[in-house]
Amino acid sequence: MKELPKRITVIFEPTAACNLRCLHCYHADTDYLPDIMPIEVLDKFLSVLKPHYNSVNIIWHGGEPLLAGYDYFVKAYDRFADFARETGVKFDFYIQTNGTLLDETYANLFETTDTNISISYDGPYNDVLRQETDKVEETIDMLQHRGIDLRCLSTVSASTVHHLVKIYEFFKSKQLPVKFNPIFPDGAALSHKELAISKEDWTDNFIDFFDYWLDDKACNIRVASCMDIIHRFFGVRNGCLNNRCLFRYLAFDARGNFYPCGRLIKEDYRLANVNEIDDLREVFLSPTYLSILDANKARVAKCHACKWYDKCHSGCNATASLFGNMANRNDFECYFNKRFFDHLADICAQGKPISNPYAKQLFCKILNRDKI
Amino acid sequence: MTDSELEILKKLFCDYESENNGQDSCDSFIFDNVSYCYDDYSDCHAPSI
Ligand code: SF4
Repeated sequence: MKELPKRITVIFEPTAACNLRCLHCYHADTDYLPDIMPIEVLDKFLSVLKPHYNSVNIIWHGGEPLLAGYDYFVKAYDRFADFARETGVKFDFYIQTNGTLLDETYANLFETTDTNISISYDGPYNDVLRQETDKVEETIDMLQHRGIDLRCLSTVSASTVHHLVKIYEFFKSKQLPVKFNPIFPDGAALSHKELAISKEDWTDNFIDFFDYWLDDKACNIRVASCMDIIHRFFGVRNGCLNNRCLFRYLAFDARGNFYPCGRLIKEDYRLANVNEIDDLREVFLSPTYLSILDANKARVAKCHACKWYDKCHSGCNATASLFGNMANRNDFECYFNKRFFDHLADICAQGKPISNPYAKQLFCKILNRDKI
Repeated sequence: MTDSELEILKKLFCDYESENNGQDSCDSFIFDNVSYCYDDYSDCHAPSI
């Protein structure tokens, strides 16, 4: 029987509070509760990890995680370091932040703890959904000036979906790696229907942008959205994509509750509280998790006949749930994947030349070739 | 967690994996000076869709 994973990724939410109120925020339903995770809750989290996991990714998330405060983070990193020393567990740290509170002191901390920084920033259209653009740009300049490798997560809405090339060129000019995410219908976005993107609009514009990117000899940044889809096309399942999250990802909130995913921090998806368990793996036997597994199975069964199943694997569980029901295929994602995989299959069949150095390197790596 | 619960969990995981043909090793590679691992969020912290 296959062994249970020894590696887990936890979307770690030290607070749900946020100092911005972005128009599309999927967290709006949580009411931005101001609680900060007590350090005893973090200690209890560590106690349920052992000895079942040997490698743990911690993704600081929120709300705005830095609202937990600098002293909190220093204490938390000390706890993780002590635990790692005692048990040999390896931790890798990531943070998704709006960048408004990230100063030199935090930068020092993240540098010494090897924390990968990602900033939520929409480039030339940052004011459409977000605020405090000057402050965020100051933070980005400061981090780049210090030589810290960072990346940006850029949300695309109906007002910006036609400008993907312009946004990409902006990120190139700043040498900032970027990932594009279309707005999805949850939280505050539900009250701003004008920002929603149709599946056709997202797919048409993303394909046009992808072709531009593939041809771009001058590309000087990683564009994770393009790399992700190439991975998917060649059947390489990375991260939590393609129905690969179950048993490998969890979210953990300030009150010590576990959820299956950072996008599903909702009462309906609460799996257990850390004080109710002795072993983290117990959350996978909770009634809520079992019903997620059932819904997942039902969705997968509906996809078996699809010619792209081995690449898509029935898509993302959270997306399926947020757009309707986890037991059903998500129409937005399904439409996008089918069109995109058809498009990539055409590109490969025609032997279309690839100029982008990043794409070339990635194709070579995946196809195990010296050149393409 | 009792032994029987552990067995149930393993069975659930195996069912899921056989359906989904997952991979649980961390096959990593260096790309543009960044270490990627197929089993983490690698470049950014959210799914693409
Ligand atoms: S493309 Fe659609 S039908 Fe095909 S596997 Fe994905 S979700 Fe299922």
